[in-house]
Formats: sequence, C-alpha cells, structure tokens
Amino acid sequence: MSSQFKQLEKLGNGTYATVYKGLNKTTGVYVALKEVKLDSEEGTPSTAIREISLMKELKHENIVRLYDVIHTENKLTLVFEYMDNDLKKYMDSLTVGNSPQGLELHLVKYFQWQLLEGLAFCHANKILNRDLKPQNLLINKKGQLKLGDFGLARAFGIPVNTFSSEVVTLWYRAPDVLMGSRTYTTSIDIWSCGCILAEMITGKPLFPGTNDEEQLKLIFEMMGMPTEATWPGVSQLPKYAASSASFQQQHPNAALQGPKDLKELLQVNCKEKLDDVVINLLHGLLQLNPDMRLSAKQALHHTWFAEYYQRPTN
Amino acid sequence: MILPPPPGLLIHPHQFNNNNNNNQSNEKINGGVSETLDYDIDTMAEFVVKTAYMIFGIDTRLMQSNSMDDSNSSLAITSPNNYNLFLKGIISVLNATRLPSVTIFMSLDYLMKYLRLLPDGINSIGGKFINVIYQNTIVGLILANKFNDDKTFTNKSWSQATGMDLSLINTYERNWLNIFNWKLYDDKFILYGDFILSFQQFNQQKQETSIQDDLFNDLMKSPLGVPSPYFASSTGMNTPSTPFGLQTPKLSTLAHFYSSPYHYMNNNSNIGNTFQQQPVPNYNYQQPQPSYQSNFNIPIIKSSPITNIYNNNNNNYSYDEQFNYDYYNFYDSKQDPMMYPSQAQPQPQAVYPIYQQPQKNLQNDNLVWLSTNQQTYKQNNQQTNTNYSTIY
Repeated sequence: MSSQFKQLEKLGNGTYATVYKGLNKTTGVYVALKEVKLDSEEGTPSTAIREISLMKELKHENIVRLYDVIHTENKLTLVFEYMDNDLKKYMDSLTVGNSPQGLELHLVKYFQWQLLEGLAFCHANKILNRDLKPQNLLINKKGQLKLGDFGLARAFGIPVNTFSSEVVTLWYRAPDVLMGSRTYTTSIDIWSCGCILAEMITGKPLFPGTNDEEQLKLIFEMMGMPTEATWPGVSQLPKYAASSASFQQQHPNAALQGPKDLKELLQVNCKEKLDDVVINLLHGLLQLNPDMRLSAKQALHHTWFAEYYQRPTN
Repeated sequence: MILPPPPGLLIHPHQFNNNNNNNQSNEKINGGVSETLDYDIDTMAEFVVKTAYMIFGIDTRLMQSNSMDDSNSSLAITSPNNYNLFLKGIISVLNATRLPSVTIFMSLDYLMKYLRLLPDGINSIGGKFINVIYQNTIVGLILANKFNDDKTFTNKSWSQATGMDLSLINTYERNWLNIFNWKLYDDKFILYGDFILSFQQFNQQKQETSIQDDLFNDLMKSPLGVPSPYFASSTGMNTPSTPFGLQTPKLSTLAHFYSSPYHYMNNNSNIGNTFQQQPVPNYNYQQPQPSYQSNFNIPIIKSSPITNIYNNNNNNYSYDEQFNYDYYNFYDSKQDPMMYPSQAQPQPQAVYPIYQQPQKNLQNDNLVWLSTNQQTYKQNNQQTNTNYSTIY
C-alpha cells in the first residue's frame, strides 16, 4: 500500500510524528506523509485517533486535506495534501539580518481571512484546534493558507469536564487558560488568531513569554490587568490572585496599569501605515475576557475584510 | 466438559464485596480520569452491561429462560453467571479508570455503531459469547477515552485493568478503527442526550427497585448483589424497572435497537441536539406510573407477560411459587468451575490481572506520562508500571 508513494525528503517533525514529502506514483501528485511510529504498549496514540477522526469531518479549502490513512502494526501513515511551506518558516525567510520583517498588509489580510475561514469551519463542526500558531499554518505558492495540525484538537459539542489547561503553545495561549480555566471553548482559538495577526504585521511574536507567569505578565502589560469589572468571574480563576498580586507589585503605579496603545506599539515594527480598522479587529480578537472575544464568524464580518465579503457580484 | 474461562474475563469472585456499594469508599482511586464522578460506579456498570447486552440483541430481563437453551455452553452470553462476571469486570474497570459519563456513553454508542458496520453483525466477531461482548465493550471504552478525554490510558494499562491480552487489544483497536474508517465523530455523538435520559431513568428505576427489594429482601435479593428483577423469568416476576423501560416517544431512537439496531437513527435525527444544555429540562420523570404504559413502544416488552403482571397485580407477594430456585442453585459459586478457575484448570497467573494487581497500582506513583510533544517523564517501576498518556 505504502509503495503507492515514493518517500522524498523530510519536511519536519510534528507534535508526534515525522513528516516527509511524498510522491503518489500513480497520479504524480505530491503529498505530505505524516508517519507515526506505533508503540505496542500505547496502542494507537490518542493524538492520531483525534487528528484523523476530526480531520475526516473537516473538508474545507482552508484546512489541509487528509487523503488517506495507512495503518500497519508498527506504523501509521497519514497522507495529506502537500503544502509548500508553513507561515513560521515563511516569515523567518523574510528576516533581514537580525530584524524580522512583517508581511505586506494585503497579504496579512488575505492570510488572516483564510485562517478565520478555516477556523470558523472547525468551530461550526464543533471542533477546537487548540494549537494555532504560525508553524501549524501551511501555505503554498498560490497564497493559500490552511490549518495543518490537529494533534491537539478535540470535539467540544460534548461535555468538557476533562479539558486540560496545558494546551496551545505558550506564546499563543489565552489568558483564561493561563490562569487555569478549564471551561474554555472556541475563544481559546480566537486569542491565538489575534496573536498570529499581530505577528504577521510585525514579524515578531506578540507575547514571547518563557513561562506561564511571564506570559501572563506580558499580556497584562500590553492589555491591562483584568478586574471583576472588566471580566466578571476572573477572580475565581485558580491563578488569578497570584498573577494579580505579582503584577501590582511590579507595577505599583496604577495609572500605568491600563492597556497600552496597540497601534503605536505595532507601528514601530511595520513599514506600512496601520489604520484603526485592523487595530479594532485585533482588539476584538485579543479581549482578555473570553466571552468578549469575537467569534471566527463575527471576525470574518469585520470591516477590515470588507473587500472580501463585499466583492462585486457582476 | 469444562471450558476454560473466557480470555480477559477472569475475575475472581472474592475480589468483590457482595455489597458493591462498598467499593468506592474502600478503594479511593487517584489515578483515573476524573476525580469526582457524576455517577455511581455500580449503577453505571450495570447500565453499561445491560446496554451492551441490548446492543447484542439480548434483553437481560429474559435471560434466565434463555439461559436454559444455552446452558451447554459456558461462554453463553445468556448465562447469569457470565452476566455477573461481565458486570464485575466493568465495575472493576470503572473503578480503575474513573471515566467521565460522557466517555462511557460514547463507548456504548461506538459499540452500537460497530456492530451495525460489521458485514455480518455479531457473527463477524464471534457471536453472542461473553468474551466477545466483554472485549468489544472494553475496546469501545478504550477508543472513547482516547477520542474524548485529555487524560488517556495506554493499551498496556487497559490490559492490566481488564485482563485482556495487550496484543488482542491492539488488534481489536486496529480492527475497530478500520471498520469505522476512523470516523469516530461523524454524527457529533447525536445520541448523547438520549444516553443521559436513559441513564437518569435507569438510576431512578434502580432506586425504586431497591425500595422494593427491601420489602421482600430474602426472596428477591440475588446472592451476588445483582438486582434480581433483571433475571426474572418471563413468567415469573414483575418487573417495574428496566433499563429503557420508561420510554417516551422522545426516546424511541434508543428503543429501536431492541428490535432493529440498523435503523435506530432514521427517524429522529434531530433529537440529539441537546449538547451543552443541561440535560432534560422539560422531561417529567415523576409522571404517574399508569401513564407511561401508553408510551411503551418496545416490542419485546409489549409482548412480554412481565408488564401485564405488573399492570394487574397488587399482590406482589404471590409469585414466590413461580420463582425459579434453580437459578440460585446454578448460582452457587462454589459449584461453578468458572468462578474458581484454579480448581477447574490451572491458569497462568497472568490471567488474573485485576485480582493480582490491587487498585493502588493504578495510582500516580508509578506513572509514565506521555505527552504529545514527546516529553516523557518516566518514573519507571518495572513491576507495577501503569502507563497513562495525556495531552499536554
């Protein structure tokens, strides 16, 4: 069966697998072969079970297509649509010397639109991705962007009592999750989308923390410290008290605790002139209170995307 | 002739208290998926077993009479003895794993779908034998746990907790995924709301049954603590309580697999949209008993004399002459080679995994945590290693 594909160069290591470029010898079409070594004690990994069963439900042009699964006793091979690159590597390739460069704003907008389209489809199908980050957004030479890794994804149509708070790569992890919330829902992915949007604009990660505490500190310094007034229920989160106390200690001047001007901060690292519309969208995605964040579908209707949804029909 | 006990279903009777209610207080398990459970383990185990039987096309209330027919096979699914082994196995597994109820319901949903997807139904996997039903119920639990929970167990842990051979688990798991074509979420678990309702009814009926049991304790109570009405002969006892007996039309999707597991979803494909809502906001379980009679739509029950007796008689104490005492004789575990496998046939020790590995081995001390980014924290203890993997 696997002889149908010729294995070519290694493309990278996923969360639980190695990915190779492959050639379908019958059709001449390139594919990505994601190989999972099977451990007899573990059995079929739950990550693979989820990624495969969820991706089988997700057929959308902004989600990488899973073509086939080859399951033998020792190895599991997932045959995916081939994509040229991922967003992380692409942005890295734009670096000039030591200074990262943002993408051109029209490309930022096109990528962000596709990201939200793919995500809205996941959410409509009751699936959380839980690991959105530039490395997992695959792109090709046509400028298409597709969500590519569902190893941490899970269904949310059914109860959430065993959700882990250890999901999403730290830099893209929402403040509610960082403070120990386990009742998160689609808003967890939206926060990541906000971080990715800012990163595409500047070429630099928005909140590059090295641990949970620093991650929260970076978020609060930029967005302000949440209170019961701005986020009802926040004080009930397991790690709120501690993070609030250390924040107050580091920033005794209450006047400086408020949110910073996001536009001003991003403009420093962006060659084009940022307008208020994109900053408004960014604020909608990066609301500290998860209930206040836009949904993927709402974000797609944001004015910034008017040129896509108001395409002339003639 | 004495057949060897079914693989993966060797559970020593002394492992369990006759009064199963003691299990939870005696054995505090820290290693499971959920710290606090939203169900009583014994009740849930009974629900799982009875639902599994139903999925296999067997009404547990009619089992005693059926068991007469099959009494020449010690693996017969209809033997009350095997029923009890199965029940105890599931109790043990739920104690060890502490799966959330949603995962358990999902496993039953998988089992139902699996049989429907098989080319020749139950016959494709070996027929109506106790090891077949047990092992496939377990594989359903394994896949539901891996699909649904952020904390999952390795197959080796499942092997230790169930007595199933590891390579058998791996093979079955592969077969299931293949038969399902990996589509474990294609209907978004549309029957979830129905399972919640069914379990609530089951709980309520069990409580009612236990009140009745108190009334005529000696007569009714089975020696192994299984509520006896479920083993009533079809002409014997009244049966006010059945797993899905209190059906309303709303629940008819589940009722359908009594008679036809192949069509259970055709009619009410919209009823499962109760996700994320508090279950059963407007369903009245407290309706007076006579009124549910009109809502029965289960062919087996309709044609069963059980319900007629229940309807007509108020002299509940009159059926002792119909009671089958052979049932209890049959049940005497000391006479049953299956309950004492070592007397019947020497078995390798490894086949008593649950008995030999006290629950405490499933606690956190010896865990091997596997994480998806391949950071592995191994605190290996070769003798008692129980492996969990979790999505971190």
